[in-house]
Amino acid sequence: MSVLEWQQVSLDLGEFALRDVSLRVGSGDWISIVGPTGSGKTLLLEVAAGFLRPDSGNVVLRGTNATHSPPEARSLAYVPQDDLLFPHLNVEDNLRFGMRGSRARQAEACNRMANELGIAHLLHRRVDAISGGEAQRVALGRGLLFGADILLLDECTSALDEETRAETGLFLQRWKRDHELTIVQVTHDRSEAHRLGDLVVSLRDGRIETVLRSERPPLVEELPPLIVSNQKGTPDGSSILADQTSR
Amino acid sequence: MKSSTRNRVFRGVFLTALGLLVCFVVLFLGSAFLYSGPERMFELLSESSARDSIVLSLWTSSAATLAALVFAIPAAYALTRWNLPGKTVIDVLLDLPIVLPPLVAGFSLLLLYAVLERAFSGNLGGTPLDLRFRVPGIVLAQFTIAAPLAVRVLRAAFSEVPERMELMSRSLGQGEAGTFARVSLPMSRNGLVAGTILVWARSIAEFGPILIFCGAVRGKTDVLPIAIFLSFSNGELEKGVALSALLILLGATALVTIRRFRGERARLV
Repeated sequence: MSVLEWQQVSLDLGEFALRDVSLRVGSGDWISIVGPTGSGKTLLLEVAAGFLRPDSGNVVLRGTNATHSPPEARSLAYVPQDDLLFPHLNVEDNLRFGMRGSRARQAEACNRMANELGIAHLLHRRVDAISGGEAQRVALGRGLLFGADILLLDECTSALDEETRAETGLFLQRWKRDHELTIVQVTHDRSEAHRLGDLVVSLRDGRIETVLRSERPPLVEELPPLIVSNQKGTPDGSSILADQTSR
Repeated sequence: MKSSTRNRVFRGVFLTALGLLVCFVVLFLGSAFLYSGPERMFELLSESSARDSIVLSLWTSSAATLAALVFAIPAAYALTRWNLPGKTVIDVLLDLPIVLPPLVAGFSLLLLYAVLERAFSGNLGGTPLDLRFRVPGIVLAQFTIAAPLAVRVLRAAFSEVPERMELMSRSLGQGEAGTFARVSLPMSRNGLVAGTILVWARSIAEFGPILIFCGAVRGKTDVLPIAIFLSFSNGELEKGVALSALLILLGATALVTIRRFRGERARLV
């Protein structure tokens, strides 16, 4: 079943654009989106998150047209490239920002997440007193704690060192498996895209150029409009993700 | 002429202009403090009529500032964030009282009451709605300038909150009202405080609209600027100077506080 779909979405912001992009993400998929700077990767996520409204086309969420829905009605966890941590709140309050439930449960979940992401020692710090990599982990934690079933990640590990990045990738895979998440991840790192994603979608000049199954040759060369449905992992099982998330 | 010499001359001319301007301001403001000396000044400000003026000024300007904020916070936010029809016209209308001569603003308030008088068939006088030449009228006269000024300064404060921060809050489940309360207001807190102080300082120094709308009545409508005007009119020069010095001091304190909050805001946003 498709949980997120871009239907012939076009948006022209001058320097950045999307041109007639169609993409369907199935429940439980991990889609990696790659492409050069300015290819429209971030626009694709921000149109889905409700940060931007397309000039034409539709965004369909869980079977409902959400093109004109406000961000708060979409129940998507978006982790943007620029973190967007709230500067008037400390790390803990940022983590808890989107959480619901009793304060005790929030605190418990928040502490667990902080431990998992290695930011437990930062909980009471101001967010302008932490490094870029730490800020990315806080933003990721905040997105995960929001509890949505769809996670949009925009270069969310770009400021991390290799080791932390790999650990964060593994953690995300576990989290995805345990919480039955659907993930759309934008990354510059093609190897990471192939390692983590079931499918790797390549954008160029606002159009979908290719779609690759992880570590496999292109499925389709030229794809507007492209339909990507619920396909998991690689047939040969070489994908880590496929090993861990096959249901 | 060598380049370094040209630079020295250039800097010298500019710094001289700056120095002369600072000297002028220090002399013309400082003369109020030098005129009768601190002891005499304190003595004059301790007189009951001066104390009454100070108290009246403090509460009316605070009330006008509070009333201005009640309207200006939502108005400024709406103008900053939403695409409203006729936004340019609204902008001009709200800026108009700031650039009008203060006497015209006061006169316009009186005219408004003349129109209301007609609407009430001449029965407005004596009702609580009739604020002319009464203390609540002082608050209204101050509000007339304070509210548009508040809208202007609060718009600057709200526009410094990145819109993406608000979108982030909304994507984390907060509606527009929740985002305003949890993100926009706290993130613009220092701008709001600085703006509030500026509006209060402007209100306490208001003269023209009060003079026209409420008159200059000793013991009744004599807020500090009116009291200064009355003192000079009645030849009580020393008292007028002492009250002027007090207003200068209040203005300086307000400006120093505003600068402190503006610095904080730069760090926060």
